[in-house]
Amino acid sequence: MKVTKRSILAFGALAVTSAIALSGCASSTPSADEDSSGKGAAGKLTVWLDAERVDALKGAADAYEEKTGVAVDLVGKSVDDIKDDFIQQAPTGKGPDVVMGAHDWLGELSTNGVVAPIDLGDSADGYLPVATQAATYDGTVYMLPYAVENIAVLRNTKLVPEAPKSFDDMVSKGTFVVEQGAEGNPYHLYPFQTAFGAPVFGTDASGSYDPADLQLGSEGGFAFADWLAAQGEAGTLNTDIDGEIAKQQFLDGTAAFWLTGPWNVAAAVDAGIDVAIDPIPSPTAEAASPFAGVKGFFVSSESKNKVAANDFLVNYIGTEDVQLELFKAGNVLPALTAAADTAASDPIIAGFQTVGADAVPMPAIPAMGSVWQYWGIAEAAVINGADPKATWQKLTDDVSAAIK
Amino acid sequence: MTETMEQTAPPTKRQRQAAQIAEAAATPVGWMLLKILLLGIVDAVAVYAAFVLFANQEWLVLAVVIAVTAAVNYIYFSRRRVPAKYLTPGIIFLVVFQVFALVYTGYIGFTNYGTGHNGSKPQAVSALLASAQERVEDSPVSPVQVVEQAGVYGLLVTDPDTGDALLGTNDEPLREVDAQFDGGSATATDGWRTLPLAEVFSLSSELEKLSVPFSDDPNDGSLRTPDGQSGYLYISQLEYDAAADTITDTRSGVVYSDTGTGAFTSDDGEQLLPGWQVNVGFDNFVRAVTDASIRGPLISVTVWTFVFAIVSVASTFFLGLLMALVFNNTRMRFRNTYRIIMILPYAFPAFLSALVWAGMMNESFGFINQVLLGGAEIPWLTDPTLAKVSILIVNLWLGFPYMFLVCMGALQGIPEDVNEAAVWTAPTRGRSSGASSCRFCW
Repeated sequence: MKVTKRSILAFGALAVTSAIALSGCASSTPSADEDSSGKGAAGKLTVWLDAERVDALKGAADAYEEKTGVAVDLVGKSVDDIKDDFIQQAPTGKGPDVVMGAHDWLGELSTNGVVAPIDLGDSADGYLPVATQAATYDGTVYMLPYAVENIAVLRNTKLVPEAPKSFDDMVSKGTFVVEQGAEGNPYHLYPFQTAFGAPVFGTDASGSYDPADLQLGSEGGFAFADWLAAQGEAGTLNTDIDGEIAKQQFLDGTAAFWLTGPWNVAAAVDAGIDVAIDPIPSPTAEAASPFAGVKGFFVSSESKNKVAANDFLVNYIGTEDVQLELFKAGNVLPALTAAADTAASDPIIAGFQTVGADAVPMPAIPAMGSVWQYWGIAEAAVINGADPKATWQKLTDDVSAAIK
Repeated sequence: MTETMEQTAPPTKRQRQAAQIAEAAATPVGWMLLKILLLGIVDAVAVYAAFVLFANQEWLVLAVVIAVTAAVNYIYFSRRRVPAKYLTPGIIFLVVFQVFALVYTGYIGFTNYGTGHNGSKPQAVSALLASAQERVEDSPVSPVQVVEQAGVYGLLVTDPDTGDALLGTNDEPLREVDAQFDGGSATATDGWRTLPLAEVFSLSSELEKLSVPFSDDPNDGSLRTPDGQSGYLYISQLEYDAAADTITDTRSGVVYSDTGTGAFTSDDGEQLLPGWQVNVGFDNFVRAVTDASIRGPLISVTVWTFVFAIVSVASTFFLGLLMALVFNNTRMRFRNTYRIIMILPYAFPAFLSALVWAGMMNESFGFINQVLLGGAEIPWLTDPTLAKVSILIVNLWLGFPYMFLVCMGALQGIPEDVNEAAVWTAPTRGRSSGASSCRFCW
């Protein structure tokens, strides 16, 4: 008797869960089917995007459905998962039609064959040059850019009213903080590295990065390493200062200068600090160029609705109104020049835009993965007192070995 | 009923059958109905899944679903399979969530799955060909209209310079036609049906194949329309020969062929990426032990994994045991308060504790260096050796309450008289009561 009762309970659990599991695989299969047959309505576009930007795109999605009959399904996802999920799911045919991402994913996405080229047509001239450059990989455009992001120096105008003229000038006027961490942070130190004339990769005739031309180990690279060591010794750069500590020091007024991106401006303004955006003071006579990160949308190579996807991106997301909506959601400079000019009425955005004029796109080539792997750790070691020459040489050797 | 039977002689076959029938008859009708209902649900879902799988031609999965459903029905309708009734749900979940994941992970280890070898070969070919389309330099953008005639799709193009209407299909290059215009661009021509945009969107896969030659000379490129409204002139840099299974670079003339490595490879060994997934046998494992740059870290990480496992288990156990012994002493006042405090680290979410510890161990700003050690500069987290020590310390803090609980339970299971005996004999052997209780809990 007892046996029967228990077995029925166990059996009930089995029934429920297997039903869930089976209906899970069952329901996903026909939905892929629907897309391929595409009969009835003009189809559906599934867009994966950063969960914080779903609302900004809602208007454009609705307007698009009204005009063309193509429903746009906006799926908010965590920024950390989008790229890997997309690479894994696109080949199975279950991925989205359109995915939002950053231009430096392009190397990986294109090498995995999961993105389809898009054609900006004549609208290409309407974007900031750095945006179109970043959207192009190996001569082909794959991304519709919507925002350009770069770092700049935030200055507390109460502590230091005048913009500094050089790096040494800045350090003498007030405390400078920049996010580092135990493994360094080469992204935030890159402006200083370029000031020493040592970009990571050289560029070929078309302006694309050339993985064969590793400039990291050039003479400028070693000069930069020496400079890092000197700053580390002087305490200007400190690997114990992570993002949170840097933020805290700037917010409570301990630091007058903070090298960071637009994503941190709101925190500073909310804390009641009068912020000015300055170009990054160079430690040399050359300009200090930060990396530009360009955000945009990709079309999946496995999408069954590429035509609608292209149309939605180029003719809807690529308009000033939508770009401004996205700008409002993220406060990052729009990639479309007309929208960028409108957004730049805000002095903070204008400040970042000025700095961005010197910015260079972050290399998207897959070889960059090998660079990131060793780069920060080597820089952190130099800042913490390791021999700059030997450490930098080892970095160059490790990276060239990994790229091969 | 069963008790009386056990007392008598072992039942004969007939007696057993009779007992089973009696037991079945004693089962309330409600339970029987519930059983049928639940089985019905399982079967209904299975039949639905079978239809979907059949439609998608997933034969292997279909066979598995049918076999499992049949087995489940047999087991629960049978009167005999009592152990199987207990074990079946667990085994099914074990296979689905554990065994399958393990086997599949193992299988991936024998393939070249990774960046550049992500999908199937047809996907790789279409991705390569798609990205090989290069826009003809300085070519204009022309307004296009997708048209159809007897199942053949064509592009009605308006020449942006002259305003003339041109028509072409996959096989026929562009030629001039008479057309109706609307706002300067051609919208319709005789004999061809103009497709509304909504229909164009639904023909995505057809349009991807639609590439209208600009002229008879292939070097002039061909016209494609990625968004169904504007036409662009492209030249393809790669050509796929399906019969020979090779891809040719139309500029350099280099032929890339499938050499079984999971990517089109030229004679020089140059690979076109994306490639596709293939089985590579033990290559990955061979590389893990022969490639010095992988072998070194692999060995040191494996060693450290074992060191970490042994040290952290041993340290948490002995600290937990020590604490349990100390706080097991009945003469102590506020014993329960102390015990609750001891368990607190176990109650905090581990990630929260780990974050707090990371902050406390920061070299220049951390609580440990700044406050406890008066401004010392100990690189708790940045020195390779010290970082390992720090992890062991934090893990000890996180883990000892569990062992404390386990040992405390074991100690309380020891009868009081045994403890007393231990206390009485202990002084003669010169040992503390704690040490001898310790033996009992082993």
